[in-house]
Amino acid sequence: MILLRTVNLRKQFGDTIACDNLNFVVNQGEFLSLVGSNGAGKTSLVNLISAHLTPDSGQILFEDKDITLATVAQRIKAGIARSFQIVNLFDGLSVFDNVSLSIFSREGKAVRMASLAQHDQAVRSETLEVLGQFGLAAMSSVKAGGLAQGERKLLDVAIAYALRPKLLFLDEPTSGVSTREKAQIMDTVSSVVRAGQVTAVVIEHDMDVVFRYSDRIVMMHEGRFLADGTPDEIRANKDVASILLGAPLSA
Amino acid sequence: MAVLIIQILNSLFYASVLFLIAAGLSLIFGVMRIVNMAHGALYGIGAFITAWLIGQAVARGATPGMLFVFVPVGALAVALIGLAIEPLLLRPFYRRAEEYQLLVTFGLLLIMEDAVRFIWGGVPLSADTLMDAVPSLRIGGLVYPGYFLVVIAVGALAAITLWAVIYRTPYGVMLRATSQDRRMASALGLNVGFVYASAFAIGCFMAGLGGAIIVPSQAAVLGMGVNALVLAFVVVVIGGLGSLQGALVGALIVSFVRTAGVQFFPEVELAVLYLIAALVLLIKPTGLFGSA
Amino acid sequence: MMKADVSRVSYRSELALLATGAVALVILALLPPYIGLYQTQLLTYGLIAAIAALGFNLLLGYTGLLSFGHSAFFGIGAYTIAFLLRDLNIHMMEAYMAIGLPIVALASALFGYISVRHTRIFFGILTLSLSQVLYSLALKLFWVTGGTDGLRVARPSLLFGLIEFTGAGSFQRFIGTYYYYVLGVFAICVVLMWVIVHSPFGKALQAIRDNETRAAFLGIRIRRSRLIAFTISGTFTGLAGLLWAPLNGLATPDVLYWPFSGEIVFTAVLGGFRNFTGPIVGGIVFTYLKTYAVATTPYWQLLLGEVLVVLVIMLPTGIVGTLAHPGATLRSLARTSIDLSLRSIGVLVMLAAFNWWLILYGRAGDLREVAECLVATADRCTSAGPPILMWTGFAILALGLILQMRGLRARAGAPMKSPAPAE
Repeated sequence: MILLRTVNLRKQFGDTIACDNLNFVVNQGEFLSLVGSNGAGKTSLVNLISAHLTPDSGQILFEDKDITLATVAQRIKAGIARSFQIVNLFDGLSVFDNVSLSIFSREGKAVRMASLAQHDQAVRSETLEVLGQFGLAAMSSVKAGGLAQGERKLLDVAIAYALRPKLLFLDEPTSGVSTREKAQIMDTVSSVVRAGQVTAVVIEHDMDVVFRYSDRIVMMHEGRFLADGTPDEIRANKDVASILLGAPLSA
Repeated sequence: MAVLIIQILNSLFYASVLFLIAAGLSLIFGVMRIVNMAHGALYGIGAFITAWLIGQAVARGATPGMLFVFVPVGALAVALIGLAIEPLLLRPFYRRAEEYQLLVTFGLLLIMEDAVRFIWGGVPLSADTLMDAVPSLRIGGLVYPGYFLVVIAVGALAAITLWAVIYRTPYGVMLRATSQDRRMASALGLNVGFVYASAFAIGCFMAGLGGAIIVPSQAAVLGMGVNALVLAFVVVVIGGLGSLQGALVGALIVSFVRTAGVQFFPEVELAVLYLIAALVLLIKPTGLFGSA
Repeated sequence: MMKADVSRVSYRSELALLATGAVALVILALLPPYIGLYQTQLLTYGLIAAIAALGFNLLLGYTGLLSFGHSAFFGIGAYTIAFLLRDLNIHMMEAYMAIGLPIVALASALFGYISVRHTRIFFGILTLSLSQVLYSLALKLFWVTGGTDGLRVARPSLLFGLIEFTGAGSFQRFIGTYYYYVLGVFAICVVLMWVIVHSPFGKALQAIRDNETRAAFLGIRIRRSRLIAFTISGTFTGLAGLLWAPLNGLATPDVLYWPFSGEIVFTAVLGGFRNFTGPIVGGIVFTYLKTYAVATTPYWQLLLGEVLVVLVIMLPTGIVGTLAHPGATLRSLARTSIDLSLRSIGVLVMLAAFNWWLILYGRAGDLREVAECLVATADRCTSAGPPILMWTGFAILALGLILQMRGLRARAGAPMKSPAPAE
């Protein structure tokens, strides 16, 4: 079942066409990687879908509803969430508060001022659950500003995940961490996401990560889709190989 | 008819001074992303220094013609103060949270306003001698002080010079590059410290010049600094922060509104201007020429 | 969705806090007989300043918005009472609060609505302009506001008219009783603010402070939250103004003047604006400091500015912050190079010398007089203290400069391997 669909989505910055009449389809339940060289348009596409940017023309349909003009808050309510390439946390708040805030916001409780945050039982237990899934339970009272980079990346994803979206965009969740940590992070992220039955679109540059974890790979180049298929199909695709690596991939 | 011309000239006169203050504020913000809460105080200090120098010179028998030199001298003195402040008190805060910058400049405002009171007492200082030195004109049947035209000329000259420096000189390129991306500029080998210090000094010079040039027509009084800050603020709200054109256009608009307003509701003049700023902020928060 | 089996968070920590607060309250309540009338009055002013600072800090410490115009709300509170007394002949404190609080809240909401539109860049000047505009109105419309003379505020009745203060000895009785009244309001304010700050809304505010973009991407309404925070903040400060007017006996434009906003800012910075109790401590300590300073020099605004700058540079976490985390302060001190430490200490000592001179002899000067008296004793300034301190400071500064020069020259002459001095 198609969860998200864009119709001729277009965005131009001056002379650069970031998204050239894109018809992007995301199926429910899949773990999709969006790849391509820098400037290919991946982040612009995600920004358009998450309401960070407004399109020049085209439509965005989520669960068959037109959300092209919807605001950030409306899209979150509809079920779209994202994490950020440059880690974007609430450094002054504890890890626990970072995650629980997503839940408060989701439940519409973010304006409640007559009750104490840490005594909302429902939010508290859900927060601990999410922290547990992401392996951050031990750090729950540490201030987010004091975490190591790998943990910060995980927290970034956890905050977006705690919104319980139907569609989760992850913008380079493993950038800036060591190779060993990359695997740990992706293991955690992909298992949590799949267990929660969340559809995920991941922007990634590390092809090892991409091939190991994705159900489907979509490759962009200069604002257009170059290839779209399972990892095996992409591996066999000669255009992809030449653009990415200058030589065919070995299996 | 003559009255109308005089009103227009008065507006232009006032706009020149407003432009100097606002352009300085805008320049500093544009390059360094700092809102200098003490900017108005520097304007006041320029006025006091120039008035005092003129007073001293007159007491020693200087001829009116010679007094003109004290206007740029006053402005230069303020620029030097700025040159001292930036590396000592502002630079440590560029990498820290914004609140600290505001707190430091606010502290400077408190210090400067009281320092003026300490040095020159609470008595207004005037420098009429300089204004009287410029011959008056006849417009229609009315007498108009020629000094006001001098101020208008200075304002126009400042606008042109500033524009030329920013958009036509290599230094201006450095300024614009640094304001766009500080780290990039530094990586390219630009001496960011020099750019910041000099930009701040130029901004202070403008504020000081505004004070120096207005003081022959309007005595220097305590508290003129904060009022000037509020007015400069209205100007950059209307014109857009960080924009030279914005400062010019905003100054003209505010000045004309004020001239009209002073006729009809002098007591609430400041309140009216503030309300206009509030309205502009509600409708077009970035002002006429500003960017988000 | 499986719910993990988690232990309920007990209310233990809150109860402990409540107990500590109750103890502090009891101590404060028992003080008046031991400290005398004057000190009780001073402490009342201190509690009022603490309430104002508490309100102010909701915006600064928790929402990240630095307002230089909070004197506006304080002043509106004060003048409201004056008007109610003069024009409607109302004498009841509770009536003042019942009418005054909504007025202050409305004013805060109105100015908040304008101010939070274009956020941080203009926020400082916008709020400063606000208090300046109100001040200029209060001065110029003197037939309404009494101008610089201000408006008289008679002693109101407390507890719905139960307690009145007329006749002989009424001043002493008023001070004694009003202290407890303010203490009660203070306690309520502290509890209220504590709950707000620890509520989901409070967390949302802190999130907005730390990372506005991300907060928006969680679905939090940025402008609305800031507006609510601004309104609450202004209302607390306005309440302080309402409490202040009867104690001061007079509502004057001074409390609308921008340096008064500066005082409110200062109390939060002094106590430490990144924690809850900082503003409370700051408010009380500041009241005592100001009373002393104002008595010794007319240039105490200069002192205030100096101390503010020094605080921001050296003790940014304020009194409470530094005491709570002495390790952090000591560590950052240890990291500072010797020449920088010496230069800073030298400047501070010289500044202290100047302030000492100011307090001893502070009159308008002649810069020549200042220079003379700081360099040596003279007829008009016989105390040797300031010059000694000045020369000591100068010596330390000079030492620091020499070390810095030597350091720079050493690095300049060193082979390519050493890194260039960081900026």
